[in-house]
Amino acid sequence: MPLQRFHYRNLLLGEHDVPLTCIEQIVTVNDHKRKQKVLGPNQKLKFNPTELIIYCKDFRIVRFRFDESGPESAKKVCLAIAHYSQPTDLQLLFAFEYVGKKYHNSATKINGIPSGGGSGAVGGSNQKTPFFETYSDWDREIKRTGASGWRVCSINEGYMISTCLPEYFVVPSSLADQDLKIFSHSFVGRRMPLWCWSHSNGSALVRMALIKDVLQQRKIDQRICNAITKSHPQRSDVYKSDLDKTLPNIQEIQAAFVKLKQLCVNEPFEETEEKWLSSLENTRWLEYVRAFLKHSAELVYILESRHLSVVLQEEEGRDLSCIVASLVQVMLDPHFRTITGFQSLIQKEWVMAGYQFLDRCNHLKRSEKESPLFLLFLDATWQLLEQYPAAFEFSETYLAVLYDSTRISLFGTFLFNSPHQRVKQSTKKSAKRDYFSRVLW
Amino acid sequence: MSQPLQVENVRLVDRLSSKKAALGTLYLTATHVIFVENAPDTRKETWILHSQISTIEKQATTATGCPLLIRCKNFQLLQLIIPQERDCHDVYISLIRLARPVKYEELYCFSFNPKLDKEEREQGWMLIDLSEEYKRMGLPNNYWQLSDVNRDYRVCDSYPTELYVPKSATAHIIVGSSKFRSRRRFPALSYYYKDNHASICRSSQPLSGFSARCLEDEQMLQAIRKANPGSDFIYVVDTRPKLNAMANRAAGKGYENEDNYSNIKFQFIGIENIHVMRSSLQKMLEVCELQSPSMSDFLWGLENSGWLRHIKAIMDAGIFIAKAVSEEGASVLVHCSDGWDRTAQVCSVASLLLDPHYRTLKGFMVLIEKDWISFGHKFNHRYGNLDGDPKEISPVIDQFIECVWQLMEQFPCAFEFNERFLIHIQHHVYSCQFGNFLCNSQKERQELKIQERTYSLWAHLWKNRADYMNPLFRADHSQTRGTLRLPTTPCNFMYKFWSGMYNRFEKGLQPRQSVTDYLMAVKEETQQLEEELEALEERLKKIQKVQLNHTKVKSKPSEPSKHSGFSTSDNSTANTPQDYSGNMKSFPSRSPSQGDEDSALILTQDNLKSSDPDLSANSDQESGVEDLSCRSPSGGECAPSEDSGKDRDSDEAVFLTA
Repeated sequence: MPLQRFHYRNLLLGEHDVPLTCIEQIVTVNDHKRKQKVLGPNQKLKFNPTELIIYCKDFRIVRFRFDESGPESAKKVCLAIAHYSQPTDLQLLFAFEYVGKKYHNSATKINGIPSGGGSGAVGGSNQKTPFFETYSDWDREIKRTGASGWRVCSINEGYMISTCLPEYFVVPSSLADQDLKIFSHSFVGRRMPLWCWSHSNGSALVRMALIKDVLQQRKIDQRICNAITKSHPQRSDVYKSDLDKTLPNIQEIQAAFVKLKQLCVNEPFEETEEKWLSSLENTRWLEYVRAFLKHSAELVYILESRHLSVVLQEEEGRDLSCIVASLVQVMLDPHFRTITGFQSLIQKEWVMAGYQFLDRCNHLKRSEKESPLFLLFLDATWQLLEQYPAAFEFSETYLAVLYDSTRISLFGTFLFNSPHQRVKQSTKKSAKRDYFSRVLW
Repeated sequence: MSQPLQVENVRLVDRLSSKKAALGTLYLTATHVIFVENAPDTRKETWILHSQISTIEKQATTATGCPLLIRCKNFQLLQLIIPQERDCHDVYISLIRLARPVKYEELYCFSFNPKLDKEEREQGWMLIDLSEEYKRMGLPNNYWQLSDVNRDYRVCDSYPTELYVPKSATAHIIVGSSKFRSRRRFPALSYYYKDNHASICRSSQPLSGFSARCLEDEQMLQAIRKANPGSDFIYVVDTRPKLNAMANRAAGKGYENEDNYSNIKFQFIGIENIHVMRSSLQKMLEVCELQSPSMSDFLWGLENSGWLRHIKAIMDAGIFIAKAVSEEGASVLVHCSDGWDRTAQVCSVASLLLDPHYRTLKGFMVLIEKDWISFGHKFNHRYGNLDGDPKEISPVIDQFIECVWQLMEQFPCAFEFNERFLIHIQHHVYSCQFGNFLCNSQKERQELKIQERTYSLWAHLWKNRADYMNPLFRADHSQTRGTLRLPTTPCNFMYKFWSGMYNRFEKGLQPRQSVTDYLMAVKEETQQLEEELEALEERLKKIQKVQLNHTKVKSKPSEPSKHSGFSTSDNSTANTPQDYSGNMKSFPSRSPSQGDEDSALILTQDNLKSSDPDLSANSDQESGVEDLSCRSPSGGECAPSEDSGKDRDSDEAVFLTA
């Protein structure tokens, strides 16, 4: 980091605060016995620790020495932290316990309009971030982009069709609700095509899951593509991009991230300094960031210069699609480079599109599903910010704060696998509070 | 070269996308290679000074023509395709001759005429005055004096005539010491730190061999120590790798033996020699030239070039010396072999860390004048201005300039100048457009009467200083005052690849927008608004006065005039905040009464573009003011300014050539 810079502080946390959800690993050490143990949730500790090392997900390492504290209480503290930082149930997360008066303003927010919020302070704009929870939010987005041939579809009201889709989404006008209901059975997770955005030339960006029904595949695919073509003012063809085939998968991205963290956080600088660039290369993280940017730039070209609609295809359509759909829109639409716009983009392409924040951020420490796709998106956006420093309303700090927010769990925004899960969890009897009250924006 | 050579239907290949090639005409003049594109609407011109040409490569003829690759010392790479083999050969032969002049008189600075009269030229050369600089340091004083021992270059022909030495060093000691040093470059003062009397001195290596001693040289170091009452020892820093220094002993040279000199602490800080640096740069430039490198090609290539490792070595030496001076209060004698390459780098980096003056525009010119020009850095040999031994060429000052950039990245508010300033200086080290960097020593420059026959770069840069200002500079910032402190512990992230320098002609690889230019535009705008506010306030005062008189005369309040008086002021104050908050969105929405100031702003933009025709080619960024005017962050939401249609592709679509 530059030594002289404009420091911003995360106002939600003190300098040495570590949210429990931010803890990656807990290591207890006993100097005298030369013992060291990685502490899991329900484990016993056979020695009294002299030091506690906490590896954080936000790239910090916090070390506590117990030289002057009672050995028993040190042990107790370590076990307690280990226990509470690795909850087994979603309801045990801090967000469910926390009552922030400041944020408690449910009446206005349930309708999808946050009061106040973090948005709008810059540039004098007082816009609210749309949540895309309502019919009207989508309708407004259609009008904003000038998309003709597209309509808001409400067949998933009450999550009747799919629990991993939003209640409202946008489809080609020529597809009837009845047809969509039938088609939906053939898609993985019943995730039928979702409109993301339209270029002013009429080309649309659409994302959808794979069609698992082999017999119906061709037919349904044809129908969908025809409908998208019909929605294009120039009746242009559809360009399909199979993300699973062209981009690194979520396991590869996770592996790269683990290595990157290893390099940035865990290894002593003495060993990495000389070999920094090759070690960085070795993680493949930058290569992956570049792959996403490059692919998105190619799709931008297809949408903008070749006037074709683009369909992003992916197994479930809720991982790599989130990154690519967002990047394409950031590149093409200046609206998404404002704070409000960027937030609405995250609502639209991540939160509402069913990106599995709970699993991918691994709040419940079931590591096999963890993958830092959201961070990769923020990194790619940062790369664009480096290229076009004057094109964005927000700064690098804003991006960092967004990443921190996935780790703080004060807010419900990045806590769930789908909008449906959010509704379910917050209306559960055991749920003490109403989660809609705390959105990040 | 009386007749310019001209070849038509030449294609200039865009390196990043070989499909795109501009068709045009190639001209060879006495001073430049000029390519003029045929495209009637632009007729874009690319000018290359002959002195910038580093290598010319004729490649195998293809179906489309004969490719000619011109690599420049300012890292521009020109790939031309000439239809006829015969023409290509002519161009090649002519360029080889033109790019390698044998006499100083052939260099561009002797024909370059910026249309200044004699007086202006002389004033230009007086802008930077080293004797003033030593005065600024607090010299002469009780410990240091100006010595005339090198009058007429009697002792050392690569040193300046005016040098500061310890008061206790007699002419006898100096001459004796000079005989014991390579090329008679005896220890002399480079920088004096008046806060604690510590100093940085420089010299060449001692001719110690395996056991030789020299009493006067020992006395000379003793005198340097005594000139600093605050410390009982001095550091002697040899900036070569230990192995190299030891090898020199066999040739009767070498380094100081701690046993022979009283109270010295001897220290090696290994910086590689000019040959290693030359090949390191070569390797890095090969990476820069890769057509479409993978992430791995780039990062491995960059690491294997070792370039950033060498930059770090120079920085480490500078940091060591700055710490010794500012924290330990100890004086330091720095040398390498001849004391004109690594020594110049290290002394100037240390001075830059220690003294905020060198971080200003003028101070930086002084620093280069002092540690490089006056102390006999061999510009002609290192940068190949005249045809010479290719083994003498090495990017020594380029590395120093990069060190400054690396520091600017770490301390963005500590420097008065910006990146462009560094890039332009680098350009002119090679351009030979100004006389400052000609020759290998002060003596040679004097013999050539450089100051009477050429112009000074410093005056040119100073005249255009508005282009070189860093809008983030804060002279009063706590980290800007005094010594810049860098960590000495290892750190992964400190030294970065400088694409703004090495890939600066690859527009596709550069950030598409410049924050500096935006900030500069905002700053200018703010200043103008403040001036306007002041003018309006004054007017208001006048109006009130007139009104007061009026009232006195009439002895009765006159409602309408009072009202109109206030409404003017109301308008202005009401307008100002509105303009201000709208700044970010639509710059030019300003009141028509400001016509004059507006055109002034445009003028400065013009200056910015035209100040350096050879350099402007590399800037593809939109100019700050223009672009701010068409920025509408919230899309259609905010009222669009009149020219929001401009620069559509830069603002609407953020493309990538990833």
